[in-house]
Amino acid sequence: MELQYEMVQNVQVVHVTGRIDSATAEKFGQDIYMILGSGNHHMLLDLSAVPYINSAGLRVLLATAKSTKKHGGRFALSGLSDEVRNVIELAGFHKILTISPTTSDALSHW
Amino acid sequence: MSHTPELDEGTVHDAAALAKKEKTVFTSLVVDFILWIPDIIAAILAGSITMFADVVKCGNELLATFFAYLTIRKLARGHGETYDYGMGKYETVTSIITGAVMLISLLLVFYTAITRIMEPEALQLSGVALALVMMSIGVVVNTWLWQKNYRLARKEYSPIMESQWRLFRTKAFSDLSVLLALILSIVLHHFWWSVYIDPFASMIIVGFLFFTGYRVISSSLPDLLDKTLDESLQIVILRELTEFFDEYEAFHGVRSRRSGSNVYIEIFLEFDGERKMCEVQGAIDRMKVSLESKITKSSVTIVPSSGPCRIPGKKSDSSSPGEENSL
Repeated sequence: MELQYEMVQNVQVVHVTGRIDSATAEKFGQDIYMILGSGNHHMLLDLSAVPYINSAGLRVLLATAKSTKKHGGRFALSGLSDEVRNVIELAGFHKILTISPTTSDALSHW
Repeated sequence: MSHTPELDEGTVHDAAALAKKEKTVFTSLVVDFILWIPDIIAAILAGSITMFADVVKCGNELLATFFAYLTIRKLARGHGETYDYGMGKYETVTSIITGAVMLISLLLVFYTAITRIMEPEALQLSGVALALVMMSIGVVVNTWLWQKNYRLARKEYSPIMESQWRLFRTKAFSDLSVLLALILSIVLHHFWWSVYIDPFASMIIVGFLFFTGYRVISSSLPDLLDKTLDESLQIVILRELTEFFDEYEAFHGVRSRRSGSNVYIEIFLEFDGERKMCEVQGAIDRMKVSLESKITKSSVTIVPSSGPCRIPGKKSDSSSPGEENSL
């Protein structure tokens, strides 16, 4: 699992590659929190290259959603595969997060 | 004036379920013991290695069933004052012992079969007749007990009932294997190789024992080691946390484990410091009641917290990836 991030329109766009499971969730969380540590709490997570996410990864997303909200920021997801979307919806995350088909879609409505 | 203690619906239901489990396991124990004695006689008279292996296996299973009965009896009598967290671990330990007994039986059967293959012997026809009758009864009775225990286990998850129905399924199939082996040994006795049917057939029992023993141990051991709940339940927990998303300020992790048929969940949440204690307590109660209604036999604890839960000796908690303060 790898993360790359860029700043676009004052939004931290984070591109994730690889599975987010029990083995990688801890590093995923640490990397996300390091990026948020810069002080910008607007984050878009591009999951188009993530084939699988489990509950450990979802817990990171939940903690991130709460954290960005607490600091007046915004947290959104884009590019979900069918499998990832299915898990996200099962856990009810579509009710608390904005989910867009692509990164450009998400940024155009930011 | 009545001094009868008031029992809530859940307590009455638990007591009834335990009483039914106790009765079912006791029936299994008595039936097993009654069938075991003539099995020993038949094995000695027939000189069948498969029958002998079956007798040894049944003896071990009888011990395991007796142990399971003792545990359920203990649970039914109630030891609430001594065990604050219930006796779920007793159930899990019993299951592991059942599995271990199966694996020990496996080694014994394997060794005996190899010995007989190296030094083959013909069966004693006079004893085989009794063995055939005993095995036929065994197939019918064990199939009945397998189905009875299976229905109980499906109604409510319990490691003991899970191991019991698997045990009787193994017994039904192994009795059938012994029965077929004896029939073939008799029908084909004029062939020189018929002496090998009996020891080779006992290898089928080895296979059953290995499969069932491994399954029982592999399903119980993680519970004994406090493995977190499986993914389907983790998703249920997360769905509840999203339902109550606005009730808390930060999420610091989840800790969960199974103990017998009970499920324990701790959720570490940070609440708005400006809220009154009674409001926070109200939110905690709503979350607790809601989640407990969705996961059977669960006990949920919401822990107001300003950081992730820490386990001594554990590097970090994967369910709470970072300190809120570090953001």
